[in-house]
Amino acid sequence: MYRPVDDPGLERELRRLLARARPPAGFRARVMRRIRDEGEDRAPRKFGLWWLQLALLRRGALALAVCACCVLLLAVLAIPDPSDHRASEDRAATVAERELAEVLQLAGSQWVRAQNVAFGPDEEISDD
Amino acid sequence: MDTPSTRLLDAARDDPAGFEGIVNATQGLVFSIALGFFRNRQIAEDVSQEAYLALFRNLHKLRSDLHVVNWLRQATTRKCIDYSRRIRHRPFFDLAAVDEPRVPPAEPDPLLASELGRRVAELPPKMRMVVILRFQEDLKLREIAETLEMNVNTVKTQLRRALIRLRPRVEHLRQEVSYVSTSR
Repeated sequence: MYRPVDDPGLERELRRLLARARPPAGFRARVMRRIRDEGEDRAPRKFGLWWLQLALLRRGALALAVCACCVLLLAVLAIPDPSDHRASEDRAATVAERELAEVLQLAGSQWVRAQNVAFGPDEEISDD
Repeated sequence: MDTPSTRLLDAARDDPAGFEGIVNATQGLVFSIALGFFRNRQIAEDVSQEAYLALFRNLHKLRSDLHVVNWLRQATTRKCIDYSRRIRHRPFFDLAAVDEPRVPPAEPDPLLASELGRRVAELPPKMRMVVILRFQEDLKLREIAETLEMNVNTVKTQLRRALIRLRPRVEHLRQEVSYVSTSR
């Protein structure tokens, strides 16, 4: 709990001492001159020369920004398209199917040739 | 509920020249806080100008004229405390800030005012600012706490300690003054 120091005389003296003071002559004009200077300094930024601000970026920050853009671009390009992947799988399946057919055909012809060698070309192979 | 006035703020936003209205309305407040803190008119003016520049840069964040006044008061107190820390300003009492002694010497007594001013200037920065906001700006303890971003209990303690520090010397001087005036 705040217990005021019971001394109205002291508080009165302090109020008198710290009474509002009038600023010196020309104070307002000097403040306004600094405000106008500040306003002029800020004017180019106000009209949005963003490319100038970019150019004024520190070299390190600019290099970092360029690197980040490159990484982002590479990442976008490196991600495979799912439809491309499916088409390549279909192509591989077709090739494998064709190769299998050729192998079976080859095996069949070899089997006929072997029979001809063993039993003669005109002999019928009987089950007896 | 009444809508807070934004007349000064709108004028200042439209045109930098409109900022003059804000300066006109608040220059006494800003300059007095700085003068009460430093007891030096030149430093007080420099700090006041810095406070107005900060206000100009932050106008877009403010919502009403009352907000401008509160923001400005807080900015001035901060600038004073920061400035005193930065330059390690040894406070001194500027004689130009004291009223010319009148004849017959009516209140306030110049000797007492001078000594009290010196004692106030010797208080630590935050404690000094609490005294100024209390006795110059007539702020409540809660308002002082908000302005200085302090706990209300800390403000109470600081104010009490400040008054305890100032009291004995002032009491002594008061006795001297009454002795001189009765012996005349």
